[in-house]
Amino acid sequence: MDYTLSEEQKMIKKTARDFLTDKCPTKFVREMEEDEKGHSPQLWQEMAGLGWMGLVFPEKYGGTGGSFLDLAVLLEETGHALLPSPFFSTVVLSGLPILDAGSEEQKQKYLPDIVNGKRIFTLALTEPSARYDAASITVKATVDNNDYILSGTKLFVPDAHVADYLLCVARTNEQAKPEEGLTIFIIDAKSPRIGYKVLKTAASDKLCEVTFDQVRVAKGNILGRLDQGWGEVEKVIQWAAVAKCCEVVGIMQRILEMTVEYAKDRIRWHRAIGSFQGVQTDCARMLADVDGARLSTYQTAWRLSEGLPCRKEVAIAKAWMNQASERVLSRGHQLHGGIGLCVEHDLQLYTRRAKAAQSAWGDTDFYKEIVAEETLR
Amino acid sequence: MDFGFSKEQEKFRQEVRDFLEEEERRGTFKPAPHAWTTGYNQEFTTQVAQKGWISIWLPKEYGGLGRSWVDHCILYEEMVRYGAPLAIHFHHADFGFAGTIVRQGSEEQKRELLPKMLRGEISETSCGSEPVGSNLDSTLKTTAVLDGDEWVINGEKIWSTHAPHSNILTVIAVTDPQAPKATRTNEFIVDPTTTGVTIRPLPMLSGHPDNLAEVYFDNVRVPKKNLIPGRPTAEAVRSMAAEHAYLHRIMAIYCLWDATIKFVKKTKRDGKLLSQDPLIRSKIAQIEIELEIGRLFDYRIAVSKDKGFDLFHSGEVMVLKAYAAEFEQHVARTVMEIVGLYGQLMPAPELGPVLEEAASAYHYAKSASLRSTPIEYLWCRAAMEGLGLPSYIDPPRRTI
Repeated sequence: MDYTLSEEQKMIKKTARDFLTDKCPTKFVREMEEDEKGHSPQLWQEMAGLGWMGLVFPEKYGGTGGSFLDLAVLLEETGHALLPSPFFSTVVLSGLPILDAGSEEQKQKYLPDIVNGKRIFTLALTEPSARYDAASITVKATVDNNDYILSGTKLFVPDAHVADYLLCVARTNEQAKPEEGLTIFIIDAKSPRIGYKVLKTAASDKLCEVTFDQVRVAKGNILGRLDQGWGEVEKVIQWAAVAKCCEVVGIMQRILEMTVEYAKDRIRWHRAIGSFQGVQTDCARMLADVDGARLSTYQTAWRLSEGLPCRKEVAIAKAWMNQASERVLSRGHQLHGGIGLCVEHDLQLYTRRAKAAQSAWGDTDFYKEIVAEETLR
Repeated sequence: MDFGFSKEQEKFRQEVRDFLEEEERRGTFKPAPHAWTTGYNQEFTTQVAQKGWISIWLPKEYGGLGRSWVDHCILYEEMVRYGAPLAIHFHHADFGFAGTIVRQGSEEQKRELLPKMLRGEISETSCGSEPVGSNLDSTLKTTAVLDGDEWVINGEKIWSTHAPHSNILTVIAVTDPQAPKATRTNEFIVDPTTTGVTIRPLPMLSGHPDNLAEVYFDNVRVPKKNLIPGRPTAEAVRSMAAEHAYLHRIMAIYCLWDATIKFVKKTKRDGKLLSQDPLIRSKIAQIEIELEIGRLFDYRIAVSKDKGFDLFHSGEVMVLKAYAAEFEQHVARTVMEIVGLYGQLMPAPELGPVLEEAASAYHYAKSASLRSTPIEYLWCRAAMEGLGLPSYIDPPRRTI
């Protein structure tokens, strides 16, 4: 048993921290909130140059063959820095399923361009029904000779407006059970008849509405098997949930750091407010929340890396993260007083994003039901 | 990073389980929640001693097995899961007295007491807390005065866990009232049958009649050699901080919780299994989530101790203690919600083994946030030691 990072992982962490401290200060984060793309293509190329996109892909595709745990270390840092980037969409939501379910031809076609930063990808999964179950997918794909015709609306799709490719989950068989009639299509994002609208979100995280109006997609663009896409989608939801937890560990850590710093500096009754027992108790509870999140997240990332079953652990990590991050962001705001509610203060940059993560890739009730199922079987 | 157990560790866990199942089958003990601290069973303790499992962390040079703190965690995780009666040996052997003797005891004390402890022949109570004063702020009142070849102890102690069952009392007394906190007191080994010692059990609302006690010392004469000579070094304080971290505390409630899971899987209400009720599923999930987090906190301390990390300034120990206390109470509350009116009976045989003690376990859990250190103090210490926040006792004066 060992809760420490390897030397390589410490290196990943340090390099990322140094790079992002320099290239991604909160000033940059604010600029990207107003930016149409929401990210810097130049920074994207620098990240590719650091090997970030290739971290979890095998060497034959240009990557460095790292594990999910290595990626977890990197994601904690990108979360800590609030890195505005389609990294999560490209690597976690798209690159991982292509690696897992793609044909060799597809892997050769797409993965190197992910690794070298040439192409941006995202996953178009959720719809106006706002759920993560198979039955909620209504975007239809009907066969037409060697093609499929896709119609319907996807909602809350991250970075769709800058993507080169969309992985779209569509219903190809309406007669079968919901879990047995879904297919993943890899679609050129510039295909005609796809509409994009960037939604105004609290976290300024470039979530999009994507409309498909009889979009033609070749059969060869199916990822995995026809009608058998849901199994792969469930895996992606797990990876995304854990990856999101990693980012939020970084965000929560930063909220804790800022709050403790504030508690040491803010003076009332001739003493730092951090010397009041009430404030101390709140800060210590935040520490427990952050620590619990880090341990459960890394345990799950380790299990994924080792190929161990982890359905219950994923559910526990995300459910705890949702609850703990809410306590941390609330206490963070309370202890900062009024200034923390103002846009010109940095705290809200973190708390808005922590909040958004709670409902992404499965909310608390979704995962509590899984925990109950695993416990009571 | 590795969150798994080695083959040897898994083997050890299975060995412990096999032992417990065999002893339960033989009728040596009947599982009960909180039996780790309220179950006094000399036969069981002797069996554990024969396996060499008392103080498994004790270095080999003292006759112990010198095993890791992770092994210690594994041992106790199973012991409490099975609701085994550990009260006679656990308190001193794995938490407190044994460590004190190893680090601070005289050679004679080590020679005489450690082997007895390992054989399961000792049951010890730490007499520290007093009704009025405290060692924390140097207001402890019990005194020890040297008179010839004997120390004379006078005073009153309270919350002396296990005192009515113990054959050793470790008494903290003031030997130099003018000295600063670090050198003001000493610890003494006292035979409870000594003239002048009166032990008065304090029945608890949980129904346990003599788990706690008051101990009065009226001119109790104790041989000079019973003074524990050493003082805790900074190293020892750090180490003790982790031992007193209640490594097992998260696990203390396993027995009750396992019984609750079994209960909901087989009990019906209005024709439907409780395990199918969404409200109950939600409660169960919440506890399972918090349990896993606590378990990770527990093993983190064990792994850190094995690696020799500095735990004193990390806040991790305080977080574990505080978290574990609140968790135990959360489980107890949840169990009571699930068992309904039967939670009023003491015991409730209708609920089946272990769970029949739900009411007692709920009330006993009230002590979880008070044992050793009240939880308010723990959170503040986590903030001060782990986050570097200034002391609340004597905060530096600041000007705007």
